[in-house]
Order: sequence, then C-alpha cells, then structure tokens
Amino acid sequence: MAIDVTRDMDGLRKALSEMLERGFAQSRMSRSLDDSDEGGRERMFGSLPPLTLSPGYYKRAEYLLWLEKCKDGGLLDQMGGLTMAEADGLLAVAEARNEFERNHPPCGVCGARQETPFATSCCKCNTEFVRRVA
Amino acid sequence: MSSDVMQSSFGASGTVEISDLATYSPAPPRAPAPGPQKENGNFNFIDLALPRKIVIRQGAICLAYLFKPIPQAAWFKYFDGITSTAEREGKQVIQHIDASSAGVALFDEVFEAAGVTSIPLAHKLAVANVLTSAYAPPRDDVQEALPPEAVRLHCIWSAGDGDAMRRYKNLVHFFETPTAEQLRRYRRDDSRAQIISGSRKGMTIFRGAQRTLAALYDELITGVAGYAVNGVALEGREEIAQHMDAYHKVAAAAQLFAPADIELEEDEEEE
Repeated sequence: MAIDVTRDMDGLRKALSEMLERGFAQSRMSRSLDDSDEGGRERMFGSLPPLTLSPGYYKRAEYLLWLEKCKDGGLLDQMGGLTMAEADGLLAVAEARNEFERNHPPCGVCGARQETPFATSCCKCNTEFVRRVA
Repeated sequence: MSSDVMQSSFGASGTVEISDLATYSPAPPRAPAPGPQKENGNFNFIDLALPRKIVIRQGAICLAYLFKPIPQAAWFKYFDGITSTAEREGKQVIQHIDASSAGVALFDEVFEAAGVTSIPLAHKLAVANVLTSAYAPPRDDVQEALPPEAVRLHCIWSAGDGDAMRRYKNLVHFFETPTAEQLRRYRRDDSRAQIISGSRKGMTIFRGAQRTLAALYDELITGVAGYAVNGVALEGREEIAQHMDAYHKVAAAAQLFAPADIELEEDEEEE
C-alpha cells in the first residue's frame, strides 16, 4: 500500500529529527572543513548522521521547515489558510524541534548548543556546568 | 483529438506528410499581422495557431508529422504519466525519471491519423522529444540580461522552410513577482510524494507540480516575446493564458521558482 508522505506524521517527525541532527553536525563541522584536505572532507561528510527514510520524506520536511520560518516571520496570514496536513506537519516540526532542543541544550553563557544533555562543560566557551539535583 | 482523414503526399523535397489536420481549421486571421521579421528564411517567432510539423529523416526520405495545437488537458495527462522516483541505497539516493512512456502516450493521444496502423516507436519517441523540447538555456548561452522576473526558453517547435527542424531561441516570458501565497502553493505541491514498499527501503514517487505551475503561469504572466497567434504577436494575460502551449507554461514557470545561478569561483589547483 502506498504511503502519502503528507499524512504520515510519524515518518515526517523522524525525517525532521534526522535533518535537525544532521544540520547540527554540519554546523559543528563547518569550522574544520576549511582546514581539511579532500580526503578529510570526505571522511567528515561520511560521519554525518545518516538519513534513513525514503527521499520523499525529506523534501516534505524541507517544505515544513520553510513553512515554520514563514509562520515565525508572521507571513502565514498572507499565505492563505493552512491545510489539515500542513497544520499537522507544523506540529510534527514543533515536536521534532523540542526533542532536538532537549538533546542539545544551549550553554547558559554563550548559547552554543551542546553535543549531549550530559555535557559537563561548554564545547565552545568551556564554562563548567553545574548539575542541579531535584 | 480525433480525425478521420490522413493526408499523405510526397513533396518536392521527398517529404511524406502524415497528418490529422483534415478536421482542423485555425482561427480566422485577426488584425493585420505586423509583418513578422524573417531570419535565415524562417519566421523568428512561434505561431501557436499553426500546425506543428515535425520532420524525421529516414534514409533518403523525410517523414513529416503534423499536429494541431496540443490542448492543455493532453499535456496534463502527459505530466501525470511521468514517473519521477527516488530510493535510498545505503548512503546513496538513486533518482529515476521516465518521461518516454508518457511521451509515447502523448503521441497516441494527440496524433490519430486514420489508415495509419503502425508508427514506429522510435518516431513516436523522437516526436515526443521535440514536443517537449522547451528548456531554459544555460547562463553562458545568454547574451543580454532580462528583468528579474523574466524567463528565457529555447525550443524546437516546427520545421521551417526546407523541412529542416529549427531551434527557436530567446523566447521570453515576463512575469509578476510571485506572492508569498503563490510560492507556498508551488512548494507545497512540489513536495507531495507517495512511498511504496515501506518508509525506509521504499521508493518515493514524486507527484510533480506541473498543474500548479501551469495555474501559476496563468496568474503571473504579463507578457511574452517570440510567440504569435495567426501572425499577431501574443499579448495580454488572458490571451497568453488561452493560447500558450502548456509545456512552455510549465517550463517557464518552473524557472521562475528555481534558484538563480550563482557565480562560483574555483580555487586554482595546487601544483
């Protein structure tokens, strides 16, 4: 049976999570790319988090991320109403983004996102993190 | 599109015309033509009201297939028949586009000449290639700059004098700037897809946004250059929307929404 990508929210949520993780890895990598030779670049690109779903999910996910930007920029009013699938898609973006932000909390000092939520010091400014125990 | 007569005649140049035009009568001429300029013996614009003549050389003789203007509905069937797929194999994405089956179906849809029982598949494919030959030229091929929302197309349209197929260059479509809503419609419809055989290993079938592009063309077009109807330059949104070949609409509108070229300077290779 064929899956309609626009309505498969589980698949879209997973695709969005993978894209956010990949984007994060790419942004961390970009600083070292300039100093690498061809082989080094290939190795770095090879180590990026994989995209595991069929390509159609990522194209739709790209559209939803763009739509999210339009929404944040207050442009949705000029773009006509949302379809049900788009509204569900934006919820999937919000869920994927929440998960990403939980997994990569920002440093309270410099704002850099961390590799894991269990980091003991900031990967950018080296600020020591104090773990609060409830 | 149906017909009941096939015209077949050997011209002086040894061309056999295979045509379904017996039932076709172009619209009556309108205002006097402004006198189209000739360039190398050919008119330098496309007349959308005239039949298209596509000539295929076969040994010593040429076969000329004649077509009435192709209606938008037939083009939409063609676009629906294109299969654009992508699937993941390890880290690679394998993409595949097959337009040839749709091209053959288009030929069968728009060309019905009574008495012609078998047209070689190679001819159908060749004709379909010509019918779908409109493309945006690479930037290096273009001499003069256009306004920001204008699109240039090249295409092979119809045989000129001497039955030689001719490439028409610099057909220009002028558009209004798309609104956020129109951009969104295009991006939304372009991102529609179906997956068969599971979400991970399955194959993506992209549904395409050609119908949306054709609709957006009709909404955004303000003028064209290089097109005419019965010898009169085509102008005005309604006229253009009514007469423009739907394949050209889609090819031009797709360029309108495509990212512009960037100037890329490569590092010189180290010795």
